[in-house]
Amino acid sequence: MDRTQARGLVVLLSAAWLAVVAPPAAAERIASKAEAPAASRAADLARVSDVVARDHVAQALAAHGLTAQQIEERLVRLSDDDLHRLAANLDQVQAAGNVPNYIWILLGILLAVTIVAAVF
Amino acid sequence: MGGRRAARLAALALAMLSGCVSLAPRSRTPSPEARVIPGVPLTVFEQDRCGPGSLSMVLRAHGDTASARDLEAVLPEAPGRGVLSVDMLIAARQRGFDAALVTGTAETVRGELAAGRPAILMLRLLDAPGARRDIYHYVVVDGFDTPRGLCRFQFGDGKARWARLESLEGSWKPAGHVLLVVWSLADTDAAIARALALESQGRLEEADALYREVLVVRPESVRTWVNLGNVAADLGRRAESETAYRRALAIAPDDRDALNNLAWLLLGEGTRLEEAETLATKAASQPGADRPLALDTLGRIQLARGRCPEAAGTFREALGAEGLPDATRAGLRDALRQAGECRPR
Repeated sequence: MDRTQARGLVVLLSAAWLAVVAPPAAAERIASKAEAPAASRAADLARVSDVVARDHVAQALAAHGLTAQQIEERLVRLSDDDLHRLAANLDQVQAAGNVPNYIWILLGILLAVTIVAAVF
Repeated sequence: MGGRRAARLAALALAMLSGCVSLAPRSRTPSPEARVIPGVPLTVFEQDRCGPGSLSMVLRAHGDTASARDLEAVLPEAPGRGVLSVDMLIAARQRGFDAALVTGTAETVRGELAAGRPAILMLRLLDAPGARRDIYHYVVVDGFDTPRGLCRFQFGDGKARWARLESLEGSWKPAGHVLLVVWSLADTDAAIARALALESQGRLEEADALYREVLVVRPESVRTWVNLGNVAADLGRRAESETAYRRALAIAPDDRDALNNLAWLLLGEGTRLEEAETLATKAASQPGADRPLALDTLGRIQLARGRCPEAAGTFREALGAEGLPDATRAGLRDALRQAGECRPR
């Protein structure tokens, strides 16, 4: 078989392979779209697959004194991504506000000690 | 008490104060270029209710009418007192906003402010001995001064404090740099529209970044996951594309776009045709404008698996649809011709 015949055979085999196996190259994908109004904005996001992240966040919430039911009520409203982000940075699971009264008493005592020290 | 002993006690007290208590920063003078987001008046948080107070301020900037008192009803007090960051997030979503708790940076804060959105930071004001006795506080950041590198903070005492974000680092870091970002639905929809425009202009990296930004605040957006998968596929990042389509399907298992496009991706890969066919069959079983495209994908998978007559039937069915774009019709005819020429395996 000379070179020309060999090349012809390669072309023929390639064409046969394409006809039998390969799909046409121009398959179309469904294009990107805008969000439909109010689409898929479910209040309940209980589709959690990241069980580890879920457990970590649950433990952090439990550390704040929440009951199992209170924890569950929150977890179902968080997405996988929410849980993943929080689990990666559990310092973010905190409660803020409502400064307890003892803090003012403590600060008052400290202030009094400072004044006493300044006077004497 | 002897003078020396009292002095030692005082020194100790001062050391404790300086080490454990973070005070609000001293306000600096902003430049004339400083900008404050409209609709965020200086506010006093009633009885240090910084959770409902700060959330009300942010929501009102987006046009919501909820007062701090209204929000108190939906923001449960945590057993150890205060309002949990997670509850702030949930409450914002319940009011109809897109929201997220993110690890904030100077860039994130600047980005939110530049887009006209105030945000909420949580700061640790007191590092008290013992578990869960630290005192945390929500503050609102609602203005910026680019020339002087300042942001405007509201601590809830009715005063505006212009300060560098870095000046809060000591109290923000212990709270994990948590930042509650809140977007109106219109903001998010507009961001998706901008990302679509970028995608159509071929600015794929920018579109990718913007879709990801959207998914932070609207993680359940099936459309955005599919769009992100499309961009990743166009960028040649097949694994990322597959992950994005699968995330869409985890939220909406019957979503035709996600089913079809994942099948399309697997067809291109060529090694998981059985799964591709299952997905495409499900996509093609649903009525609607894009059904011919799903049939197209299914037919090509059948062809790739050597089921030529079946593929030809699928292409014929797709060609029977009305109103097909010329390019789609031409592609289907070409595929039908190939199905006619192929030999079944």
